[in-house]
Amino acid sequence: MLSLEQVNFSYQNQQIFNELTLAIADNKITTIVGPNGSGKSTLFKLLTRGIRPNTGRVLLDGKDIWKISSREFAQRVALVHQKNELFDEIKVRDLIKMGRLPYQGLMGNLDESKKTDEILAALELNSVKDKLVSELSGGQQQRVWLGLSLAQEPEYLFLDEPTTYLDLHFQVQFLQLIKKLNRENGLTICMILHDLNQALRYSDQVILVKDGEIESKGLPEEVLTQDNIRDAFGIDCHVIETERGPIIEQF
Amino acid sequence: MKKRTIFVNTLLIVLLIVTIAWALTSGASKTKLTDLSNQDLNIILNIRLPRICSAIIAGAALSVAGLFFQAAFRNPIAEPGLMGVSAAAGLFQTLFALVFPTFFIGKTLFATFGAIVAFLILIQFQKLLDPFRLIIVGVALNAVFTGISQILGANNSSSLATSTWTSALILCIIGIIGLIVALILAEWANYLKVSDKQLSSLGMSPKMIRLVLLLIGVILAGVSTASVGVISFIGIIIPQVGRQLLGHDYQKLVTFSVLAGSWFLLLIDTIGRTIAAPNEIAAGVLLAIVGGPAMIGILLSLNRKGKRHA
Repeated sequence: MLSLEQVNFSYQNQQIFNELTLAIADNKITTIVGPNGSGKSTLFKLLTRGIRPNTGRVLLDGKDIWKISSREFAQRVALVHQKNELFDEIKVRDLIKMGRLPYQGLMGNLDESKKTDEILAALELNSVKDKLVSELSGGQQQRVWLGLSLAQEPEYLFLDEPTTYLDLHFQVQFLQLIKKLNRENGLTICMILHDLNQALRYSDQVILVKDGEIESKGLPEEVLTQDNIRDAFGIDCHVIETERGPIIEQF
Repeated sequence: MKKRTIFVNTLLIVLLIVTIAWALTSGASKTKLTDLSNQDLNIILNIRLPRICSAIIAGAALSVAGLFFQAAFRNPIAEPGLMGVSAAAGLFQTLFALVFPTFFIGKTLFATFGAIVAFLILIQFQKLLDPFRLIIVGVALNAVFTGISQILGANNSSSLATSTWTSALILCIIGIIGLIVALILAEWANYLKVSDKQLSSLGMSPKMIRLVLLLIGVILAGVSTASVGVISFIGIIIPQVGRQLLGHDYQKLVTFSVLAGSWFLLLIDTIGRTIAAPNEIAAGVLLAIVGGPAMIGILLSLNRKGKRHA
């Protein structure tokens, strides 16, 4: 289990989190939502060893994540960043196989594992595996970056706004893929989403963050209520019940 | 792709052998490879052979140095010559030579040290990913170091024309070791294609990778400059041609740079000393004539392509 224990974090003299204790449920899909500047990304970075808490601990199965090696952590927790920059051309296969680095290390041969081929097949990227990543469509590229993270064989997969740069078709396709990874492989997923309806549709748990506080945490329909949304986002909306579950409609 | 790699590399080896044969037999005095007189043998062994070896190793070293600079700075036009690293090496070598004119190993080490100093200044500007801005910093550094060198009255004490077995041997030993290390660590250059954040997520240290690659590049550039003088542009031209021919895998590019760089510098040097014999056009000068327009061409084609990101 991955959790924060009484974490304090401030940035440039501004206190962001105060004695925060929070656990991410295993084998579930947890979505973090909240307005810009609420601390969502900071929370993410604290959980994925991107930044250090001022005080308090971040625990992975009871162990302080800053006391284990970064390689060991990378074998268990993977992160798909919001902005994925490539500074030079690289083939799809070569990028995904870099996910084996935590296992093989800098002097190892990344081609030794069959994992890369498995992932290419699972993500339906076999037809493009020798193409340059820059030649792919946005949806395919996002799958490639997902593939890189999956090559780390993580137990926890974090996704920072993974659908921001995708069109509707690819957004749905990607989220369905994420859900499948969770349901079939038991992968613990934690993602930041801006689209509240997507959060409703694809999450087991939702955490609503505002001004560095956890405003609400629990089942999606319990967290994403009209009142909570108005408090957090300042937007009046309407939650409509349908057979498929609730939908948020903005006024 | 593999067939093409084999074809290109084989072609380069053939070109290299042919050019070596040509270099051995041409110059201010004509010699043949058969029926050698004592004087011929002397010229070949003591004048041409060290020069040929120096050109080969320096060409390979400077090309690989350019390649690693490009990987580390994430910039397709980075290279030690352009960015003042070679000029710094030249300057420091001059400084050392003022005090110890014949202590060659010391000169070489000091030149490498100078290259490292320039490199340390440069990495302060690492944030500059924009190729155009980086050029300005490099040119400025280049101007400073070259200017100081000229004030000290340096005639660039070493060049390919003054190659002796002393300079050639040191260059070969350090150069070959450096090139072997570069071949082993070539894959690291591929890892820097993703962002620092991504590498950290993979449990790796981008700073360390970058530092090691730059150090290899700086040492290769430093020892080359100490032996054959400041030579620019080859570190940009060779890797760029390599990318056009063989793609963007750094393992392939390092091999290509070694073969193509060695051949190319030997070719330029040999042309330089035969085209206007008995006068010589220095390899650095010829390269500048070729390199300048080539650089502009590369910059224009980069500008058209724009920035790449996923």
